[in-house]
Amino acid sequence: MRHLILFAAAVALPVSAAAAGEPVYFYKAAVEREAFAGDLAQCLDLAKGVQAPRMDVPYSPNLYAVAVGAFLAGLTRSRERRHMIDNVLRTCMSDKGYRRVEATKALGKELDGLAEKERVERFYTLASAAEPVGEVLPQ
Amino acid sequence: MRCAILVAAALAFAAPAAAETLKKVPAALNPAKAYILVEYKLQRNPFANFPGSRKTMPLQAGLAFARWDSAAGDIRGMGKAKPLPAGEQAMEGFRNKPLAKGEGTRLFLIEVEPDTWVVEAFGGTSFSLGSYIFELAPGTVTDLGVVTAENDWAEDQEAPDGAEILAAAMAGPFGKKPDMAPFRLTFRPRAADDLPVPAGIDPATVRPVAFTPGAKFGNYTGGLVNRIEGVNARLKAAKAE
Repeated sequence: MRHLILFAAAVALPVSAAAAGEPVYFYKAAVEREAFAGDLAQCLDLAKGVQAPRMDVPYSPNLYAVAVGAFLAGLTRSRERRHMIDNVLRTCMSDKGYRRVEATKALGKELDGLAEKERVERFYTLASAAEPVGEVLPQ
Repeated sequence: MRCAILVAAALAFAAPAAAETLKKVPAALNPAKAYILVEYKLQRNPFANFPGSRKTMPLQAGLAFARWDSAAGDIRGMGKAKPLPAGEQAMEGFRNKPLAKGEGTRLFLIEVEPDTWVVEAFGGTSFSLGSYIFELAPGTVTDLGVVTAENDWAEDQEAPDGAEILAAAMAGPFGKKPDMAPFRLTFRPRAADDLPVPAGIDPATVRPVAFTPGAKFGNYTGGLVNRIEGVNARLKAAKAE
């Protein structure tokens, strides 16, 4: 189950990188399911360790100014971390020979309609299909 | 309570000395320690064309080394490797204390424990996907040569220009973030036009590094990850062939 959640996270994370909003998944022609799961687990392990740099909030005697500053710093740090995680997954999966594929609109709709477990299964099938379903993104 | 504080202080003093980045060549090398000599090429300033701008960027980040457990295939004290005895450091971070400065270069001498070491990171990049291991023998200076760090941009990415950086800064947390890239490193042996080995070091104690590639480990520094030669640089080179 944990693996399924991790996998769901892995396929969801690169989505944030795609401005258009269609799901982005990792693809390698005819990769074995076990090999794919192993590669993904290794990359997720590296991504789990990511820590965004601390954002210092300038001192102010005004409590409200401090609260707003801290909120924005937190928002920026969280965004930075997501950006770094995307980069780690992309670099690591590229190193293992995977390409990123932006799903077609039809596939996106199909994936939206699936329950989590079925969605994960579908991503496994897509990852190892003979042909990518969607646009192959730059490596 | 007072006694406990005194014991803690005594233990702290009794602990083996941590690694040190030396600002001058010691009168004699400590036979119980090993030394790393490395020269950094400074990165080019992307805004060097602006009037009054410097040609190179100041050295803000550098190499981080870690002790390597060859049997476990991991950094000592981390992951599947055995921990080190209390008081011994497994990692040696970058300290910006150059031994000598040249035109666009900085020379560093670092005193560490003799052991098998790995190049763990540079700046915010951990070389978890593949790094170099090297041996440091006691009483010797291992010359890593000259290291150049570059951003390892992916196929569709490039360094942001001044306007993009300014726009991102103005937009704050809501604007589009500029692309980010991990570092990649290139090591080459010291040549005639590089900074020479400092005069105070006995040439008989200096030996060139012998790197063994292929070390893989966890993202213990919490930054971006890469291969030391650069995943993207390798992919681009393979496509160009």
